[in-house]
Amino acid sequence: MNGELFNRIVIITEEYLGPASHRFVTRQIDAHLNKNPNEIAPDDIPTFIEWAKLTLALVTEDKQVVDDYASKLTQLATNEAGKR
Amino acid sequence: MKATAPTYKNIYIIGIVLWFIYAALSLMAPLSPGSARFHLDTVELQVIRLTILIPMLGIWLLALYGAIRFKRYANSIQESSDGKALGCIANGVSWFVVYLIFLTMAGAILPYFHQSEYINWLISSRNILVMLAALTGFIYIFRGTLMLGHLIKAKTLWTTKRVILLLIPYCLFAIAFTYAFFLNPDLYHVGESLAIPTYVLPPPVLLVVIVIPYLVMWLLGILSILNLRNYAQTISGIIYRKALSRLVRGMVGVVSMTIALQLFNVLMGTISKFTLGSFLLIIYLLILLIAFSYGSIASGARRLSKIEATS
Repeated sequence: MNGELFNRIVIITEEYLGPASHRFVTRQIDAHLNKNPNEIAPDDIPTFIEWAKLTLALVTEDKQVVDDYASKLTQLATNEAGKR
Repeated sequence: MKATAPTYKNIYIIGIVLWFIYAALSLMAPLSPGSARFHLDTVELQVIRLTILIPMLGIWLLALYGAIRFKRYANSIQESSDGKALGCIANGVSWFVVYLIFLTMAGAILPYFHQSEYINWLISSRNILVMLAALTGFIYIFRGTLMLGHLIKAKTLWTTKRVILLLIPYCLFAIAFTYAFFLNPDLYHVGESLAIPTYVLPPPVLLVVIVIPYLVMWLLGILSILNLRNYAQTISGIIYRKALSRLVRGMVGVVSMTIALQLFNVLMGTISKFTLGSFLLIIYLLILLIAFSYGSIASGARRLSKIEATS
């Protein structure tokens, strides 16, 4: 189930980071949530979003792209919360 | 094999040492009958040599920097499928740097052996080794672009129609190039020219060891450029694509400029009627474009590395 959540995050990230997505998401979870990527839970998504926004802002100056990414992840978090 | 930072530092040192050797060889080279063609005295010749030598140091260092940056980025993602493909392309770019350095150094060594009995052997070795370095680079790059193509399932890029549309003009170019190549008076040892010849092997041998390999590697280069552009336009990721486009622009430039440099070098004998001004203009233009391309590779690789370094 949680491996599925990781895959969903990677799919959303692919729209922005292409082939680097899997590595990016893995690093974020490992560094900021101190978890194995497959162990990410819906409650972790808000923290993940905060860190992802900060780190993406380092590689692009396009704030719109970063906000768009964050909003898609927020939508994912909302959907995951609705399932519970 | 994962290279470490000190190894990269050594590569720069080797590059600088080689440049000093190249500079000394160039500046102390005897005035060849070939230079007399342009009616230059010793001072004028040294000034012209310096205007090529100094930017050449910049080019070598920039080329080394671009290739190393690219290699480091590829090494950082070597476990992934795009990392393997980009690693293969980075190896090709590194071979192009070897080619560039070897080509310029070999040109500076030959005048010292002008009257030697080994001159023919040296010319043939230079031609074949330079060709092999470039061919290795082109093979690596082509292989890497094929691997990238598999990532985006780009099998549809090479439809029969597209293959025909590419091969027909290329075959025409190949015929024109072969014709121009064999117009080179050096090949037949005619005339009173005392300049160092570009080629010394018999024409049928040159066809096999020079003309055909160059035509094959240029075709690989053109296919690589098309594969790379297709990958860069098709791959997902707004931010990734933007960083990659700079790297691809650099790689396209390096492949194109290597082809242009080789065309210029291979046809040097045929186009020997060029004036000094146009001859220098072509060299300076090539130097500038090569520098720009390696700079672009370095910048693209730096941006891509930034994505991988974020956590």
